[in-house]
Amino acid sequence: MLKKEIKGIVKNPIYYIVMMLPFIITFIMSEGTKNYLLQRPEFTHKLNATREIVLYSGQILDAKIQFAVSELNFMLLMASILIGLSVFEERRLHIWDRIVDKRKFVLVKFFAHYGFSVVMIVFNLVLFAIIFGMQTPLKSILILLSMPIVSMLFGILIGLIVQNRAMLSNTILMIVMFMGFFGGALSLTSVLSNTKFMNVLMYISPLTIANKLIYKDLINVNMGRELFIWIVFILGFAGLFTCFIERRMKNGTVI
Amino acid sequence: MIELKHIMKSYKKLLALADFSYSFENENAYGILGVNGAGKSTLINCITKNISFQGELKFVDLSIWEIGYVPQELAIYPELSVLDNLLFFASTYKMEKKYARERSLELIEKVGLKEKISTMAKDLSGGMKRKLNLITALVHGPKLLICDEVCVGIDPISRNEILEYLKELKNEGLNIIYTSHYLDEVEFLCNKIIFLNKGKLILEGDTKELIAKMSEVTHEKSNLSDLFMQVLRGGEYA
Repeated sequence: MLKKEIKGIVKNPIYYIVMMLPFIITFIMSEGTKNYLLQRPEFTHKLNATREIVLYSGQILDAKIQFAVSELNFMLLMASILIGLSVFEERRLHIWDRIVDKRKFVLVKFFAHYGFSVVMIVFNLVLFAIIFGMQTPLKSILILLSMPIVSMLFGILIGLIVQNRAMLSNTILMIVMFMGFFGGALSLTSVLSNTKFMNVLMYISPLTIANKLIYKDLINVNMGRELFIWIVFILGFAGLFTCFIERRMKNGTVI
Repeated sequence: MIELKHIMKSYKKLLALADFSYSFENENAYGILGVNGAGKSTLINCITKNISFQGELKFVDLSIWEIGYVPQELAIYPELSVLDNLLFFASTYKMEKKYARERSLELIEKVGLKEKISTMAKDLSGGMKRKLNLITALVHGPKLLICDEVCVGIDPISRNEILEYLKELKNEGLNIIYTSHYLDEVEFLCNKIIFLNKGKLILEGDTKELIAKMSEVTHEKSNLSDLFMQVLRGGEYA
């Protein structure tokens, strides 16, 4: 089963595109930021630094690094579409109905796609290191590795629930884009957090906490209470999604 | 072999199975008959544990791993070859690799797909796909084969080949539960029949005996089709 799953991933070009997207979007977003700042010299003056930097919670962060972290986390969340589609396809083809040990089948899918996420993290971190000179500490890597646990389980759950492919992509896209927007993947976090209202709303997205933890780690600031919140979040949602998946498998997923 | 007691299943307001109780015995081929929406597929999904339901389902001298299920749809991977499809399903049954390969090759030869062994399933003809759909359920050597309209949409030759093969398997001692809208298939293959209507069991028994009784009542030679129509109309015999 695992062999077939890995083959399916290796042969599908969509996985390669998703794998490269964090780097591509980081490049586009950071260049956009650079241009934005270039057009507004008063901002760069206030920041008292080069034109590529932005402020984040009072600390100086390069726009490239900010987007590198947030786009990677964003795409790790977006990868839930891939596993969701994979589960849905098995249901659509009625192969799911023939599988006796459905739990094992789901686990194999989870691990195969988690493996893909690990490759995606490594690939992008290597690129970030070579091109942006970004060095990622171990704690940050662990935060990045914890993100796919939730996104994969979320993808499986949606894949087991939906009745058609369009519904699957739209549901996941809508939720993940929303998370990405509040998490700073689509705009500068510093801009978002400037207003009181948005500063609170940003925490709707798990990306905000994950990104913030990594930023802190990158500039050698203690992660503090937010690390605990992140662990509770990961365990909580992983548990919740697992319960829903179990329930869905028990009640039937016949299309 | 399988005991079903007071099985109830409803989809929102629609009652698909209403207090269904029945015992499927060994060494038999059962034909499940009924119009669309009678509850045939729901019953099969209950037996294969693909849906949740109320009531009791008990396997006697049988485990869920010893059931082969052929869904109405082509439940095969179109992008995998004939052999790879079989090996995949063998792997879901924790079969030893060497034995799985031997068994797969044996089945492929048996249904005449030897020349297509490396062909992707999507490139096979309709009849060949149906044959592959069938043998993927046999790869682990099940004790019970559940077939849900396996001969839908194929040419008469392929259909005949599949039915002959199923008959051969039945004679070798394989238990079969078979649903079809083609009553001649059921009459040819099954020695026991079950009629379902609106989720209820309305008639069951030995195929030949029921047809013989029907002939006695109507005073003319009857077949399963006549019996089916009579049962549905709720006529004298039913």
